[in-house]
Amino acid sequence: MIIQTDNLSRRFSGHDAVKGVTLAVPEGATYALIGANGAGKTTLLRLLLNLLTPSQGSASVLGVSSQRLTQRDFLQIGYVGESQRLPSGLAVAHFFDYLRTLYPNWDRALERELCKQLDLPGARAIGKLSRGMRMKVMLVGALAFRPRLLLLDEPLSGLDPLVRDEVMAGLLAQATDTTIVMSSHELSEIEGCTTHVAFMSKGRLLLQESIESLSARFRAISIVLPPGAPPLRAADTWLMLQTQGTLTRFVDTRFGEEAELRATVRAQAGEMLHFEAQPMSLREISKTLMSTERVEANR
Amino acid sequence: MKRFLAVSGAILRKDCWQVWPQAAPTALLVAVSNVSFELPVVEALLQVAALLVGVFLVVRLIQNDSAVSVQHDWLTRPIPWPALLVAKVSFAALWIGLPNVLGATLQGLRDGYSLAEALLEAVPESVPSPLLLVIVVVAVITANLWQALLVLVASCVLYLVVAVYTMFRSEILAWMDVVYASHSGTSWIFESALGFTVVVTCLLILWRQYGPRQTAQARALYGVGLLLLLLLPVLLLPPSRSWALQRQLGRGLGSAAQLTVELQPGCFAARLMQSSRDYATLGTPPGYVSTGDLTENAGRNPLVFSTVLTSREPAIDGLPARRTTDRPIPGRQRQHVVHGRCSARAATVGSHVRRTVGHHALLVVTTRALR
Repeated sequence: MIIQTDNLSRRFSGHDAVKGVTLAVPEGATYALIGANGAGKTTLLRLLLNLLTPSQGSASVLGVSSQRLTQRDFLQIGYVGESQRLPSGLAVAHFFDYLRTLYPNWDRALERELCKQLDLPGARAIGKLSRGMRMKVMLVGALAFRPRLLLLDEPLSGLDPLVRDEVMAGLLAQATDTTIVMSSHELSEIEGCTTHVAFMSKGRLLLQESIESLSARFRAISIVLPPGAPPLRAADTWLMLQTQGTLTRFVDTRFGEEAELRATVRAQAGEMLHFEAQPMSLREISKTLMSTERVEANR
Repeated sequence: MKRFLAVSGAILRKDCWQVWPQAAPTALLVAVSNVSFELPVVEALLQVAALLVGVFLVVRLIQNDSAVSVQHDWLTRPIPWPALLVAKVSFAALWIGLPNVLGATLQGLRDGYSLAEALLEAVPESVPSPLLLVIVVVAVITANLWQALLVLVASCVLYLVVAVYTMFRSEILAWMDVVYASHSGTSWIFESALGFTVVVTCLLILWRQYGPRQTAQARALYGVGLLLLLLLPVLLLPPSRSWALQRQLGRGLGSAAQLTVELQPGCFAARLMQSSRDYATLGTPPGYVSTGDLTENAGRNPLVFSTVLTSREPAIDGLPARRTTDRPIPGRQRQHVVHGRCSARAATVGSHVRRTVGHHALLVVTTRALR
């Protein structure tokens, strides 16, 4: 595992920003950290980078304890943070000149290619760039030394769709040998490239698994029961059970065989007039999990 | 080492690109503040302004790559923190130290020194004081300029209040003709303790803040250091205590009976009016030599001179003397501090000779201008 955490926690004046997170990121994965605002994604990434010290537990990054990361390790780690502060008075070209000296493994050709691809103005001061442009600068600064591990904290947040596509294209084209851990709200953009997903809520890690496994076990179920049929009782693995007249909808989180689910429903309510099990997108799955968490919290 | 220097160089270049619009006027002001305009008020104002903009620049420089942050870019880059500090010190040397040397050299040339003499005087004057280290440390443990200024001002006020109160209490002002403890001949004890405390505390703070980035610990260390600095005047400034301490430290050392001040060949015409003044009635113990008053009446700058320190036995090997400070004191006097080197048994720790390890002696000569 390129990243491994064990019961990692961080407390800020009585509030658990990250609580007991045990995470495992395999090398080569594109790992999406999903969760609502305040779920603890940014804090988790900062703990991994030793920007924050854990209150409890431990994390290892590239096989090294996160608290013992040295400049040698940072030669292999790229980081793009939503709130990262770049030297604002510096022109883009000067910023890359500066970074080039820091990394013996800096790929000048890749830098030029990315700058061209992302249409970066070399002469303009970083402080005068738009948010999207700044994000692109950070991305080039994190990609051009071909890091083994790339940590991205909301890299697409606040960007317009065109820029998002450009950033994702730049990322995907150049980070083929890189393990990527990305926190993002823009789930539709990252779904195509994600291999693993972790879902966080209120500092806790609710699930982590491969996207295939997640997609396979989540289904949006629609059932039409005959009038007068008894309402369905929610099983442990069903979320967001809603009934409107004869139509019942829910999300099955342990979907295996359709026949098995049909049998379960039939046992409760008798014959069905209609049964549909639709695969769900990452965005829909995430929305379901977030809504459920919110409902649980409000109880 | 090569990589260390390359990284330091990269950070220095980055800072120069980024901060030169603020650094250039600061450098100009620092240089000009060394030049004499024969207008004491203007000179004083320029010096205060140069100090203030220098502080602003240093704080800005340090906080451009803040260690009290989770957002600054350098934190996730392959930058060893000592390389970062070396780059920052180099920047300060380039934009504050060098203009200081240039300005002082220019003034030296105007005063009639040769270029070599002017440089020889200017370079030691530009060596940063522990105060710069304190400013750096405050910038390191605070998150922004205003926090830094608040901490600096609060620390200075607190320190000055305690120091001045202690001096008044010990009635130093009552029995001395200048407001400076060096005339007791024991100021080296206080100054050494002060310098040692400042340097050690600052290094510890830098290590905690940049190494494991323990801001809370670094700030606590600053508090402890400040407390120690507040205690030092109370413990060491009262003459009774400092004399007692000096007697203990000097026990067993031979005591030279006489101390003379000689003028180096080639310096301004001057003559020794009084080799010593007996301060015994004022509490100076026997064997301690007080000030030598030098006067001269030739040349347009009568107060510039160089000296070597000599004693009868053992002889003191004088190095070419260097004036390291030249500050006005009340009564139209000026005080010069001159470095020389003395032999191992030069135990005369008079009011103006400070013996230190390595056989370096510090001589303080008070001169009175005749105009």
